[in-house]
Amino acid sequence: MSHGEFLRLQGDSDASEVAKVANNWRTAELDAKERAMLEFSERLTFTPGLMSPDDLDGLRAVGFDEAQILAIVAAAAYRNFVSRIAELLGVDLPDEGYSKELLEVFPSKTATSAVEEAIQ
Amino acid sequence: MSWLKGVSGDGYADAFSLSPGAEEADAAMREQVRLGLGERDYALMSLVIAGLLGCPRFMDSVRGLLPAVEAVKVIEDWREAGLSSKEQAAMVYVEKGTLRPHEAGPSDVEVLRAAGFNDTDILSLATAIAYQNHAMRVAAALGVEPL
Repeated sequence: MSHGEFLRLQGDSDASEVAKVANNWRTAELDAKERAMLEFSERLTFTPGLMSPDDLDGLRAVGFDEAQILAIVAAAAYRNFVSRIAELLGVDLPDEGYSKELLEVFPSKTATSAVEEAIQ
Repeated sequence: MSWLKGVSGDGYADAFSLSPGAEEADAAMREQVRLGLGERDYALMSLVIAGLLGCPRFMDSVRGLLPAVEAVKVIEDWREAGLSSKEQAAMVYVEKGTLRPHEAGPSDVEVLRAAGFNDTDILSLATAIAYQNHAMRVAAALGVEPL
């Protein structure tokens, strides 16, 4: 995901918390459902060929229903779509309006590379 | 059968039955992607992405668009599959867009232009790369075949 794309998603969340999620979500204060969702999204992004029914069971176990699971799949896959359009065509959103904490996460790396580092 | 419970049918579109709006949007994007590329380029790209994502089983989704022997060669190693120089330039872009999109830059677009692609072609390529990365992840996560 290009950083401008990511930063646009911060909404009303605390800027430093969003920065933690962007840099390494495992260090952020997230609840069990959020962690399961991000774990699933990470697998879908980096190792889709290894996914199995067990991955959906992991989401069910923390309380997601079938429609919510479909929404998570669609959203994670959609972000893989949008970020590639942005990266391949050099499209980005201006950094104006984003907090200092968030911008400092990304000057030398994208969210994608940050996640790659986090799972190594 | 989709890994989602309560979904009848085992197709890609069936998996979206819990969210018809999402299926419509997905189908519209797929149609645009296929209009923007020839059948051969669509098949080559789909095979390469399926291989890179560790989903070689998805080669069935483009069965009939390429000779079977060539399809197998492409999914195993597109660099040794006898593709034209223009096709190889496109597959380099496909590979980077799939595995290392954050490394893409203006020089990648220049390489495509030098190989004979115009800017509309390049937009079609980028959109198709992005769409197939989306669709194959949906299919892989839900236990269905991409279209």
